[in-house]
Amino acid sequence: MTALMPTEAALTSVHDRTPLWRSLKDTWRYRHFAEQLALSRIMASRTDNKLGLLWEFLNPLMTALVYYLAFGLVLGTRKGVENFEVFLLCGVFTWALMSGSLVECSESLARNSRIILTMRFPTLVLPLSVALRQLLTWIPMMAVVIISALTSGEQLRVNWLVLIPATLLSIMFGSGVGLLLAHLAARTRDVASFLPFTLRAWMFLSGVFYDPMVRFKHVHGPVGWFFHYNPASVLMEMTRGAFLHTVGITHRQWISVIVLSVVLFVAGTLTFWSKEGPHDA
Amino acid sequence: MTHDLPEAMIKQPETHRDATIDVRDIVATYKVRTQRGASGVANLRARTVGSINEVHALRGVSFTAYQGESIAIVGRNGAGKSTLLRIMSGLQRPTAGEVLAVEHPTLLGVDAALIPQISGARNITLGCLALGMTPAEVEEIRPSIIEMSGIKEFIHNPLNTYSSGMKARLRFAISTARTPRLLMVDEALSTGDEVFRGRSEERIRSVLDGAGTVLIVSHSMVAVQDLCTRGIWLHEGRVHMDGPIMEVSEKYRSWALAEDRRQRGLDKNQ
Repeated sequence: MTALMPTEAALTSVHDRTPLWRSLKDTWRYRHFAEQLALSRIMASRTDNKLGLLWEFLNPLMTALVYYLAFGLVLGTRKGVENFEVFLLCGVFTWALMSGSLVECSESLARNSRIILTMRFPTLVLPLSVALRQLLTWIPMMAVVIISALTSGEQLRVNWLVLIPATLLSIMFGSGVGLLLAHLAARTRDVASFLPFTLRAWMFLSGVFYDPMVRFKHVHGPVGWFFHYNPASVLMEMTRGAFLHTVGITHRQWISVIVLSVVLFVAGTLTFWSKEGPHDA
Repeated sequence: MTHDLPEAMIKQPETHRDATIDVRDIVATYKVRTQRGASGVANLRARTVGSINEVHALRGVSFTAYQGESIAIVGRNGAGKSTLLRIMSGLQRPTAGEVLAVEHPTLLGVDAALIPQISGARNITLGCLALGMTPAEVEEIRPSIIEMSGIKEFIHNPLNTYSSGMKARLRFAISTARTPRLLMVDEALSTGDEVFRGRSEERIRSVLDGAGTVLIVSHSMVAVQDLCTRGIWLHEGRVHMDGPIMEVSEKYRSWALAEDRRQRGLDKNQ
């Protein structure tokens, strides 16, 4: 019999994969890190500006103003839309929340490659921090919409509670797609170069400053189907429905956007997790 | 390049102590895109995206480290030191071989997860949370980090206003705030003044006292000679020599000097 080697059992491989359950538990344990990372990134991104943090919502507000002038007034998409100001703000802000989650989640690995190379923590913390950051900038945006809704004569209604699922679904849908893209984006910069154009085209088709459900009501076939179930449009209409009783989404649209968001979010999380861990040499 | 190398020497350390990290036959091969040697229309793809070239960073490295050992890993640029360190700390997967350890090693790198535009105080919070501490633990440990890094009066200034020495001190203080059992240091001792060097040596000793192991990667033998007990000399991705620090450092230094002289001689002849 050879001598016992008590140390052998105590040593474990440093390259073992973390099981999903452990990974999710670890991510929860690191939630304070995600929160601080989100806050620090917001602060860091605006230190070169005099107006600092104010830009976090000046940015979408100015976008809304530009769209108001260019599309609402000049191209006249304002016509026939009740309370166009609130309609437009809801559209711009919901798009900003959804596409912001998408873009930043897709970049979360590529942009944090230095942290990932030097420190060991569950990488799902990074998209979690993105979602928190989006939520933090969403609050002042919603304050703006609520103020403009109240000043333009809308009443406080139970419908405002729709904002809660609208917020959650926008973040889940956006980060789900972003998580699916993250590993590809970390391997090739082509994704980051290609994404802005795709998103811009998608945004113009989604009706940030017009109502696609009204405008393309008589379009049938796959194109009509796209305009009807395009999750970006449905999410915008959901937010608008909180304030405007002329806008609302059907049960089918509700179900479609919930199913799509949940499926993409779960698939994105699983994909992201399955590629977690040490990089191959 | 390999001629003039002193004879390889591998001494097995005593085995009655407990192992903390066991490195088994690590191979690391990188695929690198090159941009050379492509011309003409037929090679358009090769010209735009490059062709793939294999780089052998590590060609089978094995050693075992024990409790209370401090090991200097030395070697020239490109010998595979940093790759080995990243693989040992579990941040990178080797092409072949495995690394077994008592716990996940703490890597103290030159590139830590600090954000330049925010204050030192916030970076302490961020760094400690990234190491897996709870917010309560961070507050408990904060005074000792500030004390250790010696940046008391600048603590609320943004990090990008710090000198490189101050940054290095802060990084070191954060990474070693909680005494790890396996600490890996990448050239960190080259920055910082004498006072700080004294303090960091204290920290390294406290790791050793707590039955831990310290691995230091360095170009400079002088910085690590006093601190380390064992030296591992990497050469072209292999362990060329493994033994007591004084023997390894002496052989390495005279070889490096001779290499330098030879290199200069070649330059002059050209």
